[in-house]
Amino acid sequence: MRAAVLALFLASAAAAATPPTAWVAADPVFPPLIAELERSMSGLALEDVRPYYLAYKIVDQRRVIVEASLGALKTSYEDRRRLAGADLRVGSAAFDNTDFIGADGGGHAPFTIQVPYEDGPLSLRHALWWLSDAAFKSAHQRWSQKDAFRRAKNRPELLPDLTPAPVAVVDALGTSAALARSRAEADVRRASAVFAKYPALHGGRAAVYAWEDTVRFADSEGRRQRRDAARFQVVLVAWTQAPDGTALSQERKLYARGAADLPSSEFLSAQARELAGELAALSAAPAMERPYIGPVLFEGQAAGEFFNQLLAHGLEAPRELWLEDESQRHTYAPGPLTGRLELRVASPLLSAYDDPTQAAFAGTALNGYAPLDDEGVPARRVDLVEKGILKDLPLGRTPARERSGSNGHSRASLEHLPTPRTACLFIEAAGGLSGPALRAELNRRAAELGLPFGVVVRRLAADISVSPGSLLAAPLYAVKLYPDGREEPLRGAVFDEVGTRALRDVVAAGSERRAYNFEQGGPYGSDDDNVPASVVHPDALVSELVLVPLEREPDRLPYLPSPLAARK
Amino acid sequence: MLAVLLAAALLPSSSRAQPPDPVLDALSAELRRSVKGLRMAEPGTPLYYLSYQAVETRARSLSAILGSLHEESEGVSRTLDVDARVGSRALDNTHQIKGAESAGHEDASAAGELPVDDEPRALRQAAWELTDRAFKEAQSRYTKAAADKAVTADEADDSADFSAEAPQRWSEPALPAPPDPGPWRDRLRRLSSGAARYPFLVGSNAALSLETRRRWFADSDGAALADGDAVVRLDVALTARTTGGMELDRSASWSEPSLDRLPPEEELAAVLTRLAEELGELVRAPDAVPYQGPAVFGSTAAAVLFHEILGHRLEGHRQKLESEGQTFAKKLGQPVTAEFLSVYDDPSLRALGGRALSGAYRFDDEGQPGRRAQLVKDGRLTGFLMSRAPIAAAPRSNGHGRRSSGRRAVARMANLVVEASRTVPAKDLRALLRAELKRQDKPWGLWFEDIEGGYTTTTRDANQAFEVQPKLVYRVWADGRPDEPVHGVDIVGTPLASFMKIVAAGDDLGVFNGVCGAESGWVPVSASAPSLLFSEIEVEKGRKDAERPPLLPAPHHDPRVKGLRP
Repeated sequence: MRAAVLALFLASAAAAATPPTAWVAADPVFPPLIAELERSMSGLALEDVRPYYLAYKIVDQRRVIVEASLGALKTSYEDRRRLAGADLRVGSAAFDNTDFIGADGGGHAPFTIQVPYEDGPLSLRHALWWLSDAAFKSAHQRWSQKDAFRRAKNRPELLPDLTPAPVAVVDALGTSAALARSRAEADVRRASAVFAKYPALHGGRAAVYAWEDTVRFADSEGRRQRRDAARFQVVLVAWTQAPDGTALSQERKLYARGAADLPSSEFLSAQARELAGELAALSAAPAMERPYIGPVLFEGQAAGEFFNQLLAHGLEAPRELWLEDESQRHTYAPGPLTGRLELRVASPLLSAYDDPTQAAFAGTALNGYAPLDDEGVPARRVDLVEKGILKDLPLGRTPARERSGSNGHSRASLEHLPTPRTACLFIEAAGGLSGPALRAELNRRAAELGLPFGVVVRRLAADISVSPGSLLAAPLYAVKLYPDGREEPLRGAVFDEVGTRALRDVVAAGSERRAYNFEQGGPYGSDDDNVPASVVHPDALVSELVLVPLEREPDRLPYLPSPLAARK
Repeated sequence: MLAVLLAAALLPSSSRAQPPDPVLDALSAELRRSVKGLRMAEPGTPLYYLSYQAVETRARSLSAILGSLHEESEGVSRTLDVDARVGSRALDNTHQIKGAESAGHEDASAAGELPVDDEPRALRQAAWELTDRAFKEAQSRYTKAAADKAVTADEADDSADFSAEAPQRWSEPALPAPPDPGPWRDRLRRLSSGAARYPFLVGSNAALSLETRRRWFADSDGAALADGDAVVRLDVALTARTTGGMELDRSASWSEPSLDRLPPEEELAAVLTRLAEELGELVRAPDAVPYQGPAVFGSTAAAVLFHEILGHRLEGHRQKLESEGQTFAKKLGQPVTAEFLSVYDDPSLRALGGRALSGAYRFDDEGQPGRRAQLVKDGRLTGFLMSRAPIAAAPRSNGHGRRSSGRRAVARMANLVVEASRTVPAKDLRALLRAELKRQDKPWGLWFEDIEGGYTTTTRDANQAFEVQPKLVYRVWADGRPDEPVHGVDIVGTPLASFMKIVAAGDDLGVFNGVCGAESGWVPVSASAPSLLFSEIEVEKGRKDAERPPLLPAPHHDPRVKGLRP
């Protein structure tokens, strides 16, 4: 277990700079970093334009990638590196170079550079010098572009770009043990060997990925923070082809924040067996032929993704950006629910809050635990939805139209500017039903509509790009549930016509809640701005959704039986 | 299917007793099963050839900047490339597609990852998936190629698509994995810290990479190879920016089979000091102006020039492709350069002039023995670099079929060597240059000390232009005043014309070891040549970056910063 030492000082941003504490001066990285920060702030200037804010983030990283296929190791790799990012602002807090997308599509990213991983004042300052120079020139150019745009459009600026926030000095450095690569190699060999026992599979893989990150953050307002940000991911995936040639695959992704918390070998093997069983069942099932319009019950991981894709993504990035090219409005849009404060966004049964200070739920560590956000602001609980009505938003130091003042929810991967999004989203439902009762309710509603079965979705894909007419990704594992309790797997179905309305159409929920850990995709459809996140949620029954057959040409089956099948 | 083995092989096939090798055994078993099952699976698209090449790479890397370690990594992985040929040797799925269906080079092979554990079932499963994909892609392309050939104009060269060659069998013990770099951590720290002395430097990097590769090759002709190599590369690079916004760099690299063969630290440090001083001169140097006139290429620069402007154009398959320039297709026997120059490419040459050569190998990526190819003899074109893709002028492979994983093999260079039958002492070349300048009534000429390979256009659509990037160029004055560096020089011109304007060669030898990229991927190569005097070269001003130099001085050269003096 880690020993985390937390020393938290809060001061208003308007006060004089926080006096440095002993650990900052003794840290190998902070003294040269702060020295270069101060030199950049005071020295960088172009045509009377100077920086008014500068933040550096340094990520020390050891990456481990270990993969095995059918019991045989495939990849074993590790490296050590250090990355630095600079967020530099020119202009003023009222109007700076951010929240603007130029006609060339650029403008929404910090500068990053790889720096030596070894501590050495000269090499770090040299890299930060280079980084700050590039960031300043870009900020200057962007700000000029944005200013010219404002003048040309004669737009009054309604919202500031940077609001005041508490200045926190935090030491949260952990002492977690590093992942032993040999142990990971043994685990993935054992877990993937399970797949070798299923002759109908074309392949099966187990992988462990580790990003043993330590993050340091310092800015020109006096924030000094260092924390352990290690994260681990285990992936199990297997694939095959159904008799009609359709490619099928199933996967499991498991997360941990410490090497000691990675799932056991036995657990992984059990998951692998379950996964192989699902593939076999799907493969044997017929593909969907006719659309389904009726009630849908989301269980387990599918319910977690349901709330992530509709509610969490609905509330992300609330601030409207300045867009030089109007055709980009579709891409750079705030989450679809952000403009609906005080309006109904979900069923009256549902309430939701986001609390990144929660480290665990019912014994499960939460992936989204983030007591400090990526702007260095301490996180706090935000009550988002009360009985279906939207009351508040996740916020960072850039305000939304109707809400201002960071609540420590601004996060991003290193290459992106932090944007407000949920971290640990807790869904609460009134009148929770037991599992059997929920399924009975599903069947009752189906029968009411004259349908012979209801649909239960147990796994939902994370990638919504495959369903262009829908805000919900395709089901990865779903079944038809008959009134007598019989289940038939349903494959080849995708959601159609799904919008945020589905949240308002939740008519029942489970009484039990579970923690769902995952990597949350970024706003604006970004595919490389993932942050660890969690949703604590019940199962959810939606009164009506549309599922249609997936139109796709299946691949020809393999000419020869696989070696797994051929060997006897 | 029984492969038809040509009895008239020019060389006996290599053979060495083969100890059991689990990877080769598993792949060979899957290959035999695949050939048996797929050969006549579809009568209209018969599989007549199948090969597997697996490559295991164990790598370590380490780099340092300004005295601190920058990045360190270690890993092992394996790739498998499957080449399936459908149709017949006369016309198969690799045939060029010229008509409306042409989509440029379709250079991909079916490739994927292979387990590093020698577990037969997992190895065979991976091979099976790739083979199925390769076969289906081959069928599809063969159908297109056959249709395209039927409806488009006759090709100028209608030689076969695949040559008949003797299968090779060979086995070597595996080489040891790359060792921990050990003392090189401190060495790289020291080597990279020297750059701190120079205020004009904006970047510096010293990087060490160690790779041990093992390769397995099996095909339906009966070939079975297990071999490998080890290479250690040290690269150092320094970057500066002029006040005019041009980025300049100087770099050096060494390539040896093992760590202990790298030069001692003093020698490396001396090279770095020299590079920094050269860069310092270049930063202060004037911009280039357009020039046409005599020039000398220092030995390693000449080697790179020959690689770029001659070597690529002698790759066999280019002589046949309708979309390529076919510069030399019909020039066999004709002069292509000065009569005192000869050029050959020899993969079996491991060292030259005491330097290990990067491009050495025993068998190419099609399993063929790497053989010396005499390309130019006494100034006349005598041959081409050949893979198993024949051309009218050369029906057989000379072991130059090369690729990196994921690409189909094509003829590539290995170790290119330029020899002069008539030389002058290298130290006399400056005087000869001056004499030529006076003869042409020009006040100064150019001396190219170091160039980097650049973009070469060989297709018909664009002009026959070549561009290499000069890195260190001096102006040599006819009146004897000291040389001056210039920067921002780009060489232009047409390849044929410039080859014929070489008038003298020095008695020195420069060896350049590097990597070469082309449509079949990146492969290690070398090029060697003496210094050469050209009676005419044309240069233009280089592209200028628009970046300003940094606004603040580097922290360790800022008088206001304490405690960072290098």
